[in-house]
Amino acid sequence: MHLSDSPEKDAAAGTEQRASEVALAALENLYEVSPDAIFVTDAHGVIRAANPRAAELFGHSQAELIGQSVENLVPQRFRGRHPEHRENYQAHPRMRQMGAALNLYGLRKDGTEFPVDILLKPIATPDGPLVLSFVRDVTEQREATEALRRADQQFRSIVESVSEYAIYLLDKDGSVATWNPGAERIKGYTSDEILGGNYARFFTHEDIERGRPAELLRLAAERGRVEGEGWRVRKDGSRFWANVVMTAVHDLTGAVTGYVKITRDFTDRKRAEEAVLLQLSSALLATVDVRALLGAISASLREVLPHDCATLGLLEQDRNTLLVQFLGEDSEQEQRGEVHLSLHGSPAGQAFRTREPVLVSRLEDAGYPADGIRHLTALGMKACCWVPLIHRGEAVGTMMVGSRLEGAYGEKDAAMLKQVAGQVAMAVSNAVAFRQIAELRDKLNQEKQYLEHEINLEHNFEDIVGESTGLRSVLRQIETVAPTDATVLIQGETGTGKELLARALHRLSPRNGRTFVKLNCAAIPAGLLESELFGHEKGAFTGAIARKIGRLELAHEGTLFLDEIGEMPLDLQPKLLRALQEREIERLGSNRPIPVNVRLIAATNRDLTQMVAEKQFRSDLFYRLKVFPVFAPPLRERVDDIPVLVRHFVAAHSRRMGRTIDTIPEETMQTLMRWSWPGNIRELENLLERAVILTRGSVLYVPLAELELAEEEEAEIEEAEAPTLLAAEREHILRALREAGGQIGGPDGAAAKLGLKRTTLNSKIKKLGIERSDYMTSR
Amino acid sequence: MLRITINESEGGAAKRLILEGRIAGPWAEELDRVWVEAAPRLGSSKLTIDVRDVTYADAAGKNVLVKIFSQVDAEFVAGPLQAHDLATEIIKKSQQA
Repeated sequence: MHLSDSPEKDAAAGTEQRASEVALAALENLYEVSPDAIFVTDAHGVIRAANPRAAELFGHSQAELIGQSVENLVPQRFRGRHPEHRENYQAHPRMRQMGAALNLYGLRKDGTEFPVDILLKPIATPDGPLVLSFVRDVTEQREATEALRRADQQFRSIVESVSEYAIYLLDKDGSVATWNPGAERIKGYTSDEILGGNYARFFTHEDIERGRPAELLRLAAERGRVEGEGWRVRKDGSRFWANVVMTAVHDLTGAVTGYVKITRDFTDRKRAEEAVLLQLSSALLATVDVRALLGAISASLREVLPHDCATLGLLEQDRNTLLVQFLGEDSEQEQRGEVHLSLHGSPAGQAFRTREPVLVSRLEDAGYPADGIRHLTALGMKACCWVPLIHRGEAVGTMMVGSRLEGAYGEKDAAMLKQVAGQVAMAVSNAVAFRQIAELRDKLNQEKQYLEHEINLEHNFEDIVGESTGLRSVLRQIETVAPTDATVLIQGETGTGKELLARALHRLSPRNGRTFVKLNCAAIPAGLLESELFGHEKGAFTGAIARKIGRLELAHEGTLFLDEIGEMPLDLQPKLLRALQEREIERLGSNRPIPVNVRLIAATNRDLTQMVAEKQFRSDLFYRLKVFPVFAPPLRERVDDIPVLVRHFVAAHSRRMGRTIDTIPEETMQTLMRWSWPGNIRELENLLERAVILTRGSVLYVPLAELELAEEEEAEIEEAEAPTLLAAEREHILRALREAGGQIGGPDGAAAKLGLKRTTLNSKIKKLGIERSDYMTSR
Repeated sequence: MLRITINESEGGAAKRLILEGRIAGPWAEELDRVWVEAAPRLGSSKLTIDVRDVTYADAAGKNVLVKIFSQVDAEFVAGPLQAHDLATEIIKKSQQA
């Protein structure tokens, strides 16, 4: 060991020597295990040393390699220029990388080639310069590069060949990095014009002001992908409707390095949609009939949204269901119909409740109850799309298109349908409002006519006059029941003021602000009574030349007074009962239920209990009516009220006729109080009206002789009402024949009415000498 | 309001025109329209005009009834007094015509 005169220098020299020894050991190991082939060649290109990897890579043993010219490891086509390259390197020896750009290849012993990268390093030795060569097999790297190149070429050729799409890259700031012919065609810029420019220039002025370009970049960076539609601007300033997909590009750390943007020009589709909406709008505005709307919608939509079936559902608030009309084709025949669907358990109901589109690719497998989709599956519908109809924030119904092709509709179609739904909702609301206005107008007109008719009637009993115990008892009953909604049955003889009591009931009830509607069942022909009660649609029967609102509907939230209820035909009674129980009616010729909230007061002078026993009146209706029975006492049981009533009627008629009558003779009053008044108050009033007319002066003159005469006539009537048996039988048969319109046989014939055989009745007619002219009127 | 019903008897030998309600104003026109349609189908059938439930007929309504009654072999069914008077009036007018 050589020592210096400085301990520090000696220590440093020792450290350097140890480092060299370590480095040498590492190099020896590297030489043995290197993944690269290592050659040492002399100035003539003769191999002086080769590591094991070199033998493995080139297929020669190490011994075969040593002494061989390195040019033997170079393919024949490169050998010619190899000495020249070697000489050049020796002239300028330095470490040098030879690879990627030169496209070098090695030659194996078996004659096969493989791509290589080579690193050369000159080494100076006492024997002269040597060259250390590191040869790396880059077969996999080259293949990967080639695959990438091919893929890139394919992608480019695709992008370049697509002219319908603008496909380009943006850097992370939104500057355009690539540009394809599609982009040039759609946006009007050449590559030279646009590369490096910010993509904000494609946006409208309004969007730029709102910061839309930066917002889209931010959203794409956050979400990875954004999609949308909107107006964009071409180079020439014109606008087009763009469908845009923007995807963020990230590096290995996840940082955004740019964006891929694909834009399609959807202007034609947009214009077509706008045209459809315009066409639809015109069709809808012109259609005030909700049922006709569906046809207009389907026809307009068909151009942009092909379908085999369309439906329109409207909320029925009173039933909490959707009334869905459907329009489809089955074997080229139009199929129309309507169904009531629950808001739960049907896709239409789901769209209505959630206010979101419902897309179904295969209806039968969508898990809805059969009742909710039967009207569609029956038409063979597979794929369907429902959207809610929302007008002014309120869901008013749903609409749907259906197809026999599975998966026929997607999100785009739902979006399109949703757009149309806005207009349809408006039209539906308009049509509903129009119908409601028309109905209210009709109702008001008919109420007006009815009230005018009522005003024209003489309602001289403005107040109930009397103080008798019987009357007071009735009035107490009226006061008790009036505030309730209970049905009241007023029974009493004719002329006892049953209508007056009914009006008093209405006046004292909470419904007094609404209409009091009266219907005299005896005054309307039986065949028309149903129409009068329930109303009818135009064309419901021959003669129904216009829609008619029934009395039940007119009395909605008011009171309906059915006078002479005992005269109501038997076949109509269950219909009335059902209306009272269900609280809804249907007009004749319509199946649309109309809710009615009516307080019913019925009146009769017939003995309904007896009629029920004789099966002339239905017991169920009777018990429904008899919730609170009130008996209007006959005048003969209110004798104490007669003087008050006489004074009331005399004063009223005198005032009307401009007379001054201030005295009613006591004898006259006593006579009036003695009379039995079979016609009750009506009879009393009529007599007093005549009396006021006949009175000359201030003392009432009552033609009391009329009462005496009437007593005699009554006696005669009673006598006449006991005819001989044959005459009675003749009269009985004649009445039956007249009632049957001259028809003898058949279920409605006179024989059936009399409970006789047709032949028996014929022989009786002959025997009693009854001629056709006795019961028929003809020329 | 007027309800118009045309019934055909067994074998179609006779027809029955049942009128219920008021034959007045627009319903007179409607009855005339219905009659114009129905008359050709009547052929030689006997027509019975049931006016038992007619509550009122104005001049136009009566004219239509006269027209019907004059055109075919018809008879009236008229129960109550009011309907009876109407039928009598129509028969007289058609005879005068």
